[in-house]
Amino acid sequence: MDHTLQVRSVTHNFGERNILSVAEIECRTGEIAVIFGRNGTGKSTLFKILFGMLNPNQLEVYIDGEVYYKATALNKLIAYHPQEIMLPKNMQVGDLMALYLDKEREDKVYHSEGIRPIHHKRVKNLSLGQQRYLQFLLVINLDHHFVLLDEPFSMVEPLYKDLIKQKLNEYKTHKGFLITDHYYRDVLDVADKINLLADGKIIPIADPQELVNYKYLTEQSLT
Amino acid sequence: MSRLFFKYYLDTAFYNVLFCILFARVFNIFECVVLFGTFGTFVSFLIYRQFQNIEYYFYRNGGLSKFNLQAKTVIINLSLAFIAGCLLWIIRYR
Repeated sequence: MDHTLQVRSVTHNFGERNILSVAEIECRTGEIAVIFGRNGTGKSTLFKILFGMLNPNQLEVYIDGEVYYKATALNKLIAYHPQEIMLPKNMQVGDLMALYLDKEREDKVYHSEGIRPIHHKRVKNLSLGQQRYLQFLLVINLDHHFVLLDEPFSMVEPLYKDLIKQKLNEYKTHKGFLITDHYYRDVLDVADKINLLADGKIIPIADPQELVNYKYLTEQSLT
Repeated sequence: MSRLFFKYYLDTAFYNVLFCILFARVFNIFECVVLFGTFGTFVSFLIYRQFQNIEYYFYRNGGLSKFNLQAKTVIINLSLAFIAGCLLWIIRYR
C-alpha cells in the first residue's frame, strides 16, 4: 500500500530566534526526497521534530490524509537515522539485530553484504563506517512507512555508499525516504525530489543548477 | 516486558546499583534499598543521559519513548525496593 507524508507547517524557535518556519514538504512511498541546506539551517532540527524528539511551536503533518499536530503520535510511522551512532556500543551485532528486528528482517540484514563478517563483533569494535552502515540497515528494516536519514553517506567508504544507494532504491518500493546530507553527488544519484532549506523555509528545486543560484553549491561543484 | 526495554532497564540498573554501593558505607542495607527505589533511579537517568543519551533514538525507533522507558523503570524499581524492603523487615523482626 502506498502512503503519503505531507508536512504542511513546522515552526520552531530557540528563544527569540526563529529557526524554522517550514511549509510544504511531501514524500510518498516510492520517493526519495532530499533536503539540502547549509550548516545551521535547521535540517536536523526538522528531522528531530518530525521524529518527536523536539517539541516545535507548531506542527501540522498529514499522513495518508490524517492530520497530526504532535509528532509523538508519528512514532510508529516515521523512523529516524541520526547523524551520530545511536546503537548500544557494548552489544554484539547479532544480538542487536535479534533485539531490534523480527526473524524475517533479521535474516534479511544478516544476508546483506558486509554484515556476516561482523556478526560476532561488538558494535564498539567496528569502524565508524561499519557502524553507520549497520545503523542504516537496521533503521530501513524497521516497520515504518517513512524513514528520515540524517547524513547517511558521511564517514562511509565508497563501497558502502554504493550499497546504501542500492538499498535505498530497493526499499523505496515500499517506503518513503527523506534525506539530508552534504555529500550532494551521492544524494543526487538517488534523489527523486530536491528541496533546499534556507532561512527557515523550504524551496523546491527543479534542477540542481538552481542550488548554485541559491548559493548552496558553486558552479565548479556541479561540473 | 519487551527485550528492548529490558536492555534499557539493565543499563540504568547498573548505574543505580553502582550509586547505591557507593553509599553503602554511609547507609545501612535497608536505606540502600530505599535509595535504589527512589533517588538512585533518578541518578541513574542522569548518568545514562550523560553517557548514553543518543541511545534514546535507538529505543524510540523501536517504539519506546524516553517517557515510556523512564516511567516503567521507576515503577519496577519502586516495586523491587518495596518487596526487598518488606523481605528485609520480615527477616529482621520475625
